[in-house]
Amino acid sequence: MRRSRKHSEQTRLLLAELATEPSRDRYGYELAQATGLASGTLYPILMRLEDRGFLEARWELSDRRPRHVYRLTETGLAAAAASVAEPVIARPARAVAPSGKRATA
Amino acid sequence: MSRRDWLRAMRRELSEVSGRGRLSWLVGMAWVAAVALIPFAVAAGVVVGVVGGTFGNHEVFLEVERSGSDSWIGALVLTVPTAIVGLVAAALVVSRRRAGLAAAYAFAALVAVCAVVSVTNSPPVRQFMDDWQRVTPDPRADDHAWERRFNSAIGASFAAAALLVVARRQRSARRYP
Repeated sequence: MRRSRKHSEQTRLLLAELATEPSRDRYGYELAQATGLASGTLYPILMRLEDRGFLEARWELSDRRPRHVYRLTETGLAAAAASVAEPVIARPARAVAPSGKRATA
Repeated sequence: MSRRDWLRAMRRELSEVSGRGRLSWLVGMAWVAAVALIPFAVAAGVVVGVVGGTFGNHEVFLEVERSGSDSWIGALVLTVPTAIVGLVAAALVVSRRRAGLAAAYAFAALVAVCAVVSVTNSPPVRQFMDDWQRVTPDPRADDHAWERRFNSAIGASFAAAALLVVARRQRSARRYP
């Protein structure tokens, strides 16, 4: 029997953030600030989401400097909606404030 | 999108980050780069192990072959398929092919068989090493035979386990981002 696995807490956080404005392109630093995830956590999740087809990643060339932008695909939007319905892991919730300081709920 | 593209994307964002966040961002970049290198490092370990094992043991095979015994054929039949499957598995894992996991499992299974045969000194390894100890001028042939059998088994087991872990993580990341 295949073991069922849920998205990680950080992945759910990122999916939820991306789903708030699904039609807008988002930058990495902007996502890091919004979710409080460190770049070393954020980017591996972005890579996996892109690999899985949940995320569309492309270079934005219109600006003075090319930057990578991200947007959820239809599959990603469905996954984000489904992840909201997932039961939260029973442990003390820890949120990360935009300032980067951890706050215990 | 390649890992290099992702690192380039992180570097572009670095110009937006200031203060202490910049250091944290750089640490994140180093972490992503290091994680990206793990499959290559493990695959390189398998290749080095196979090549090193081939060069390290070729004299043993030659000495037994020169003695007129054909016990080296059995040892070769046991080890060569394992080495080939290991190289193929390493290439598949590095190139992130879906077949990488199956190949890594096959490699691990073959290594397990070889390791058990080698450590327990069962046929065809037993006959092969006995022949080598009989013909080699090495005064410590008994100790060296044991070291070769044991070290090869341990090294190959570690390499196969590491490759399997990397392949499983790749598969897991595809299924559960």
